[in-house]
Amino acid sequence: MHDMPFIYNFPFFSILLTLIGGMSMPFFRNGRVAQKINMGIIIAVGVMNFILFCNLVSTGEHFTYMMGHFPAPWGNEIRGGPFEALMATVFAFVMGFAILGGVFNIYEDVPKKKQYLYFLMMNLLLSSMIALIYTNDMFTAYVFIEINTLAACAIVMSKDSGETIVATIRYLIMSLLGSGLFLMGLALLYNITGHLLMESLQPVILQMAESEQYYLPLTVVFAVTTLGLCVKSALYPFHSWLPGAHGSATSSSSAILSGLVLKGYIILLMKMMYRVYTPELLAKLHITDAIFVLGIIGMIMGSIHALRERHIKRMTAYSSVAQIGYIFMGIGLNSEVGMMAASFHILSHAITKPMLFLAAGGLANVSGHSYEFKDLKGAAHRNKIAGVAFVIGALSMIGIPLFAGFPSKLFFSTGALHSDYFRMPLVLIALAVSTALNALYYLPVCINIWRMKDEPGHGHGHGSDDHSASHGGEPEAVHAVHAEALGHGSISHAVSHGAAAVADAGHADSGGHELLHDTDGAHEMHHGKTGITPAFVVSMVVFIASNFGLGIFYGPVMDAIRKGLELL
Amino acid sequence: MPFLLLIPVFFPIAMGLALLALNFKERAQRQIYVSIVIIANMVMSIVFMLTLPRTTFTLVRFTDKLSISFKLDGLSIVFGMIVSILWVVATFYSFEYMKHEGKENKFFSFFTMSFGVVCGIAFSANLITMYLFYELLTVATLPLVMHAMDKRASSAGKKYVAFSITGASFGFIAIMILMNFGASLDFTYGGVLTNMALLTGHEPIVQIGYICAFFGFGVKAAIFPFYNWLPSAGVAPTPVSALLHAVAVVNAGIFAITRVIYYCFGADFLSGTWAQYLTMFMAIVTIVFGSSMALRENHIKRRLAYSTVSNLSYMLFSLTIMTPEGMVGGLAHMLFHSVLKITLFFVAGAIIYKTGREYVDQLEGFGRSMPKTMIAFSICSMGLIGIPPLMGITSKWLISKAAVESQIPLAIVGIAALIVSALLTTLYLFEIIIKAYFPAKSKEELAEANMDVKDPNGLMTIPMLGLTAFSVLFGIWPDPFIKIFELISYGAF
Repeated sequence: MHDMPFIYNFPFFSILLTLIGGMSMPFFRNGRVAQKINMGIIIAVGVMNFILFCNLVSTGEHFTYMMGHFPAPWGNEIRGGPFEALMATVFAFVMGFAILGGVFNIYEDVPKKKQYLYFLMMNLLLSSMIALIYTNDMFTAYVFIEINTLAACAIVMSKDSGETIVATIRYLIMSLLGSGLFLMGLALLYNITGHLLMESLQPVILQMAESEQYYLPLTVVFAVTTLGLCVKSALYPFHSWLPGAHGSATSSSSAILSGLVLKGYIILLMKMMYRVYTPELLAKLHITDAIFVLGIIGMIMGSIHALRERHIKRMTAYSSVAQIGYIFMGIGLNSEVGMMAASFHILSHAITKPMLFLAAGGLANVSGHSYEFKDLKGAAHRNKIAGVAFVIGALSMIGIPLFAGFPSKLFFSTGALHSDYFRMPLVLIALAVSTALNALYYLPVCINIWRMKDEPGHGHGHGSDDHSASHGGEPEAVHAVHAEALGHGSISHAVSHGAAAVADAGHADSGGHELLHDTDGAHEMHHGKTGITPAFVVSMVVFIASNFGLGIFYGPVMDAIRKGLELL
Repeated sequence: MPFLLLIPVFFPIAMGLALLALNFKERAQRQIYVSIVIIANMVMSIVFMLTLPRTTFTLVRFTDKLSISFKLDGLSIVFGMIVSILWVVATFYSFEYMKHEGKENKFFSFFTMSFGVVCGIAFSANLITMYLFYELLTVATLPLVMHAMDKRASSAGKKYVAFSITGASFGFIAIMILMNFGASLDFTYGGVLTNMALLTGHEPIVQIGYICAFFGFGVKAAIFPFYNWLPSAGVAPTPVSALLHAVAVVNAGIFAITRVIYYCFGADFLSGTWAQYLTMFMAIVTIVFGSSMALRENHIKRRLAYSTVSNLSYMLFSLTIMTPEGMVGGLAHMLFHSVLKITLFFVAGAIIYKTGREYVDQLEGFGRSMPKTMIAFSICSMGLIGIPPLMGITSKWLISKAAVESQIPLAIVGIAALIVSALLTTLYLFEIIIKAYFPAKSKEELAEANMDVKDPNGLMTIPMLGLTAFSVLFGIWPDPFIKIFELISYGAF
């Protein structure tokens, strides 16, 4: 071990640094200091993993790292390859900008005394996710799953409201159910094989599978561990905890939970599939079939639920259920291409969904902190960068070329074409339907947030006066106009808009709608702070740029993923 | 300098976005801005179409098979010309019309952006580029459909999105299949299924791919049973119905299917297969269905929309004959129908704008009250019915000729459908003409009912009458167009 390159220490450093950094925060008891420490550590982690990633991709190597130089079965191992390093880099990157973008809301939503604890939890979260990515040991994985669960619950609960507490309790119960299942599977696995290290497990399992006597216990073990991870990553129908938790937390928490935390478990599952169970065995035991079917159902059902929502963050959260369905569907394709597509989708969703959540938060900040569609009308005019980011995120989710969502769709359908005649039509049709559903719930929201401020006064009722009497459906239109004006925003908004509508009605000239622009100023005054801080703008711009970047230059990323999966 | 081709695509998009940001306070300023942008773009696109070399310009290269590239060929020039010229006409018409709809700034922003997007469809060099702009077209025109933002408009908008995006994603399936079994995704006359090693043994999948493409892209061409969005989208302001839902969007569907049949899958591969007969059969069904629904409908704009449904399938039927003659017929009908139907919609819009009347039986005696408007309507109706020597007869003749020469039994059924549909067209259009010129009510009643019914001003009448004159002129003398279409269809232009 003396000739080991220094950079192979980086994963270990990353985990340790985040843990120690977190533990240092109680000494300061100050949110701002904690945030700086947290940001510094995230940058360090990101840089270290990026260097490691570049190195591993160029050399095409992978390594196992023994913690404290104790060999198995006593020691604890880390295993790194291009795949793991890529994921860790992206996780650090996304986490950094997600916190940066939501920092205004963190300070607003989290009670002052607890702010440093919020960043502590963020540190624990990052540490546990990196450990899940790099670990080579099933029990270590379990330990970090639990840490991850607790930290995730804490960042949901940190916004101190009744809603988040209920959401956290649901989250906690489902999450613990998931990790409990995982632990059960792990115990059984240890019982029949006597190993916990991934490397030693695989030969024993393969031997057992060959003898064909252990099919039942192996099926149970695989099913239970997989199920545990599926519950934790909110695969439909185990998603019930997700919309509450992601919809009610502060923006950064939602962004990180949706973009990263769910994926941590999926990456662990993928590693287990390759390094412990082997895809062939999983296919033989029909585990992948089950994952595939649930993934397809999730793709559609998540979107159908999202379609019914009138709350922008809950809608985005349900969209995550659908996207998780995509990823599991890719895994369930049980082929190299499918796995690559799933891995790519982890990345593209990890950079798109946080952007959507942060943009939704930014829009709500300028709309009286309400996430209801009716209050968000025209919000994009008050926070332009958030509006642009939301539209770009939406187009990416629909899968329009040039955006990050398109290569995912491309690879999923390539994967489908290379699979059997049962899966191919199912995937292709599910992709088509789900694309349309995504468009159906994202596009109306985009239009809603970009509505002109003056629209309540300008339904059909605004004809030139020589024919308005004969205009069909006129009374209805006027009625709708009033209802709209009254339902608009908090009471003070309704008053200002109502007054404006009255003023407008008296104005016979149809060009009169420009009158209303001064209500804009009233909005600003009412809220005082808009939350459009430089940090928010930077984070939005970075997310937008990385979305385009991944959408256009997906080739190299895909090559790295291919290489990484080969080395798993 | 093939990169110049980017200008007609991205200039209007940028200018439209700028218009959103500028938000002119004065109507006159906005009208000057919009007319400069639209006219400049028309001039540029026409000049570029006529002068630029036929080379590919790649904007973004994803992989060796996938790229966003632009290229000119005969077909794109035809589509580009139709769209560019009619866009300018429609813009002037909307200046007047949109006064009564409000929210003009938003309207003209997206109206301008859509121009660029349609040019993108016209100039795309491969299926992925076309798919990109095809999706963007839905996104860019959605705010126009939902313009009124009331319940009816937003449900129509949702229907539009649901149909269009589902369609495009089925088109995407076809793209994936072509990518796997074809030599490339670039539009090549005669098709890209040239690599026999890839293709052999997978013919059924490729044919299913064609079906996906036909019905997927056919959604925008309102093929039965995916026609329903078109009549609903009539809640949009009339210039949108006229330009987008009679010309640009629906012709983009026809254009896409022409590309798919003649430039991707290839007529040789498809002709004689079940896939050809299925698509031809659905086109024939739509021809009769659309006309019958138009006859039942009493709302003027919806009647015209159903008429569009039927006429689009004339083109689809002609294209599915899958001979060069069939393509000639399809292209000719695309041009003629665009000119005629946009004028008919302009008339409907003028009536709504001046009187607020939307139903056929409210038009009694309009021939006397709105003489210019109703003359345009009558002449274009007769053109659409196909009364010689007006415009429509030529294309119907070409389609029937192609059908007979193809010797496909189903195509003969198609000719019967054309005849039935012509009869139905006569019924549903002449009902309006007769009501307008030979009212049942007495003169006094009419004078009272139509007291303030007058022709609109020049911004509306000049586009209508100009297009009518054009339709008469080229109805009598269609040769130059037909020659060009023949060159394109035989791959020589």
